[in-house]
Amino acid sequence: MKHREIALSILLAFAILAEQPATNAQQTGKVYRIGYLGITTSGFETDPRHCPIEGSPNWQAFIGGVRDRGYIPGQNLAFDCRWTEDQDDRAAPLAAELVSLKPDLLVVNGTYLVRAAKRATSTIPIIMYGVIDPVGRGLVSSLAHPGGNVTGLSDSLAEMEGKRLQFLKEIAPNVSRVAVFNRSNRSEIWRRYLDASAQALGLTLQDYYVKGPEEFVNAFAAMTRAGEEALYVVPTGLWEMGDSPQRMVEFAAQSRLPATYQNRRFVEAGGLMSYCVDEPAIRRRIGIYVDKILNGANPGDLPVEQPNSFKLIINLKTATALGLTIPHTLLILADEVIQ
Amino acid sequence: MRVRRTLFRKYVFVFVTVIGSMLIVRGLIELYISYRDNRAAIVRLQKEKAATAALRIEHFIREIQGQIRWVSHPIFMAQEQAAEQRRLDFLWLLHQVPSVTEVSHLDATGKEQLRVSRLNVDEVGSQKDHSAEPKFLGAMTGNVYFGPVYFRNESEPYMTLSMKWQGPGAGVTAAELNLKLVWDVVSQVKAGEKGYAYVVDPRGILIAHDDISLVLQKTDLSRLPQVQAAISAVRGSGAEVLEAGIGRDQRGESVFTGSSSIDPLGWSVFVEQPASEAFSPLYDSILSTLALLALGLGLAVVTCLILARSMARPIQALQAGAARIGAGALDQRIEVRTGDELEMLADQFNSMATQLQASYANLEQKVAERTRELTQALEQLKALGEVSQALSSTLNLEEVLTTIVTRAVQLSGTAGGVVYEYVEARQEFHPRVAHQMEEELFEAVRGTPIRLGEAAIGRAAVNRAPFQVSDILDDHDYGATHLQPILVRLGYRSLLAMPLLREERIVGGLVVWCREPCKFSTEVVNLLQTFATQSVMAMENARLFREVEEKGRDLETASRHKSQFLANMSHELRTPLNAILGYTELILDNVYGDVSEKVRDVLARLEQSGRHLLALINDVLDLSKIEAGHLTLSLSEYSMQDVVQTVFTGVEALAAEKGLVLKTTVVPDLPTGYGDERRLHQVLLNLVGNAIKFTEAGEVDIEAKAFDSAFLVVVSDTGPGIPPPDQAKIFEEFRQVDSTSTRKKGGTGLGLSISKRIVEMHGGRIWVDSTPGKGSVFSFTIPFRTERPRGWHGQADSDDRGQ
Repeated sequence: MKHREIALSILLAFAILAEQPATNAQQTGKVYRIGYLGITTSGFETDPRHCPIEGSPNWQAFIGGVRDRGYIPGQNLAFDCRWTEDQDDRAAPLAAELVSLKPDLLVVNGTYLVRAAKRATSTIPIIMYGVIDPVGRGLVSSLAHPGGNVTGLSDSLAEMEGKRLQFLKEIAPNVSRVAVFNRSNRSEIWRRYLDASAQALGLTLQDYYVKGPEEFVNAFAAMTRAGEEALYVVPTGLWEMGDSPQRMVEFAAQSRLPATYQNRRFVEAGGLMSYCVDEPAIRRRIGIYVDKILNGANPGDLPVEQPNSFKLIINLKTATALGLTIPHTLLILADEVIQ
Repeated sequence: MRVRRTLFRKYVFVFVTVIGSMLIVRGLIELYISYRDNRAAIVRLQKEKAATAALRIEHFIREIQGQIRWVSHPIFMAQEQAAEQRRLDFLWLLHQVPSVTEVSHLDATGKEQLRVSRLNVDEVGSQKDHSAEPKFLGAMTGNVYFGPVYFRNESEPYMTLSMKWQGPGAGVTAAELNLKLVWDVVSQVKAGEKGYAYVVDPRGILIAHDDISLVLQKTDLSRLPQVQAAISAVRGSGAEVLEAGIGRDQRGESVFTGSSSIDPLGWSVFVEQPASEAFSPLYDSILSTLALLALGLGLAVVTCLILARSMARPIQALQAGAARIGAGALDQRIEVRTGDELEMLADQFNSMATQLQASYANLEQKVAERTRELTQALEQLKALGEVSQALSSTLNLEEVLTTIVTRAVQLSGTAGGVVYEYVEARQEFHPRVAHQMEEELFEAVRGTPIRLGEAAIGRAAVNRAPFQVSDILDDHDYGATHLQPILVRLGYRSLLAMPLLREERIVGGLVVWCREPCKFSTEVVNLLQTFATQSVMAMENARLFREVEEKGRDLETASRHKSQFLANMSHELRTPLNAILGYTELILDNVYGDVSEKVRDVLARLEQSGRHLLALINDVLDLSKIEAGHLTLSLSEYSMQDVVQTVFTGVEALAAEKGLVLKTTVVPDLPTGYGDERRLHQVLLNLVGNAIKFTEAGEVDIEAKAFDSAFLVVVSDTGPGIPPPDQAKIFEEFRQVDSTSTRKKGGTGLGLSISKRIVEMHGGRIWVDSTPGKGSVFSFTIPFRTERPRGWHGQADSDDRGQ
């Protein structure tokens, strides 16, 4: 009978409607691909995609930040990692290789590699980090509106270079000659601050260009010969490779040079001091950019973040070994004093 | 009749409407209340959170302020030491307060004495002059100065906080605060999953936001309604009030917003939640309410359908059943088993149908019966009609009787019949006509006629009543006749005899017979009685007609004889009469010698008598012709004037003799007439002659005029007049007014009747007006044209060809 069918269909309709549509929080099984371009794995184990399985604390912070946003590597996220191992000529081909894997975005460490990535693609979003002065270096057009396909986090402020020098002078007040341990003779904006600071502090700077760790010996020998009294290590990712930090620190110790380094690792290794940003914190924040870009944000509209806090870390043992006392001013300001 | 099937739908509609509307109304009310409450709750919550957040930010700032104050105290030491101490203090401040990027000490004149920075190299005693700057001036006037938010590198929000302190080395401590760290406070404020908090400065520029990138872009939110309301409240104008906590975000979507202001700074904190998210529990509740509502409706519909079905079905069954019964299917029964009044109703219908069925059957039977009877009666009527027709249409007795007997046999359903004629003289019944009667039988009854008292018909005749023989074999009396063996041999068993009676006299008989022993029912007997009567009538008619025919023939012969006789006689009479008159005239003319006066007188009287006799003879002849219908008009054109004139001339002398004045008046321009001039002349002459004859003194007038397409001729005299009773009689034959005067006046008395006939044959009229003593006026009209002369009875003679 007609009416029975109508009644049944009504009931059926309700049964279907009553079921709340399951809110689809998860994406429908899509796996995002991130391409990572870095300098060195620093000896950590890698998986078939060349990504660190555990990795350095920085790497872990990065992965942690990405996870916090709901992207789980191995589930809805896949990494492809490439490392130049400090071979500049490998930057371009590796960048191109990563691009050819058609990732959803690229995460790139360091100015040089970011430049290579920019040349390799102008459409795939690039999240940069570990860069100093991205505007000055032409990676973005402005911090607030990067434009293009590059955005990310800046690792340092140019001014810091001057400040570091001041701290070095404070910890070793008798120093007047400072060796500037530099990777290349690229003159950049930060140099201005360094020079101004040196001038204000009455220090003489001397550049020592080192292409790679193999040149440490010669460089330090030269420093000793020149009678340098302190060492200012210009931060660059190269120093992080392999056991370079260790070696560097050893050389400094051998040369009895108070030195300021680029991050905590060096200080842990025995370096005297470092004034740097909270690197893990910065790397954690990459996840925010990843989330925004994967949800469709335009990288050119995402402002570049600059570091909020800076950490002064001093190695007391090294200071003592060098015969230096840490002045009050540094003690007060220091965030960490390693014994 | 329109088919109406709406009961079910009506029920369903009513039920569903009632229940559905109740459900919907309730649901809507619930929803509205829920919405309202939810909204109020959310806004309240936002406001609270905003207030909390404002409080925390203020606290945050005040904390910083406190820390700065801590280092803004006079140092009672030597200058260098003081400076060193201050430096340590400042470094300690930097260590303690991550927000402070830079802190400087300005002396009472606004010159910078110390600057400690996180990023830049510390400067001691630079003596830079900041005396004109608001951070100095503001602090000097108000003790604490909160600078406006500015952006370093176009992306980092900073604020200057400076405060004054007294005492030796007094001055101003100015600190640059990186407001990005306010974000920490703000980001902890959670309002739902998609909720967020943010802070704007008095211009509406974003200082802190959950999403720091917005801050770094120096976002201007002053266009948002809730921001506008807040900053105008801060400014003190407070004119705009935010409606029920609904604002808009940068994308233009609705958000729930609560705000609070941070007083010393003039900042506004907003805690917002997208309306869609805020309402999502509400939407969920709406959905669930709707789902429940829909479910309820669905159930209601289903229930209503079922209920309506169960209510409507028995009624529908009743309706259908009643319709079927109404349409005539009386064997249908309605099935309703609801156990209530509806079932009772159905039972009633069923019993009604049963009764109807029975009565129909009964009715049908009766109708069939009646139809049969009617058909029969109709047949009989038809037969009777036929017979009547036959009776009236033909005088052939044979034909009529044959029709009668044929129809009688057919309608009575008998095998055959015969009509007898009764010959009284011999007391025998002779057969006249028969129907389906075997030759043998007919010859038998013809050869040896049945006598009165014999056989069926004989007895019927004697009894003057129908006589039935149910079974020839049974009836002993009948067996005695000579007819029985023949009848039996032919297979006939019963018969019915009807006597034909006219006024108690036997004129004949009608007999019908059957092969089976029929019982002739009353109807059949009556029928045959009718036929018998018809037969009698027919016979009587025939007889009468015969008589009339004979008499007519006799009359005709008599008339012929009479005419012949008159014609002969008139000739015979006229001849000697002409001789008498002739000779008399001769004698008077002295042909045979002189005649004496005395003899002349006698001869004159003789002549007069003779002429009178001649006139009488002519008149008699004319009248007999007229009566025989032999008088015919010879029509031709005439002039009435001439006729009058001729008559006038004819009677002139006679009038003069009597001393009467004779006048004629003829209207001029009378048309030409068409009729028998001679006869009209005769009529006028007759009238005028009469007038003259009967008038002793005075005058006689003749007038002729036209009247109504006819001639009107009037003859008036001054005679004695005619008394009214006699006025009609005078036009009859052989009449004069007074028989005595007739004898005196002479005349045959035939003239007026002949005149009347002639006038009427022309189609006119003749009458008299008279007053005794005054005179008489005789008038007659003659149509101008007489095309068809009328017959002697006054009827138009259609066969007349106008001879």
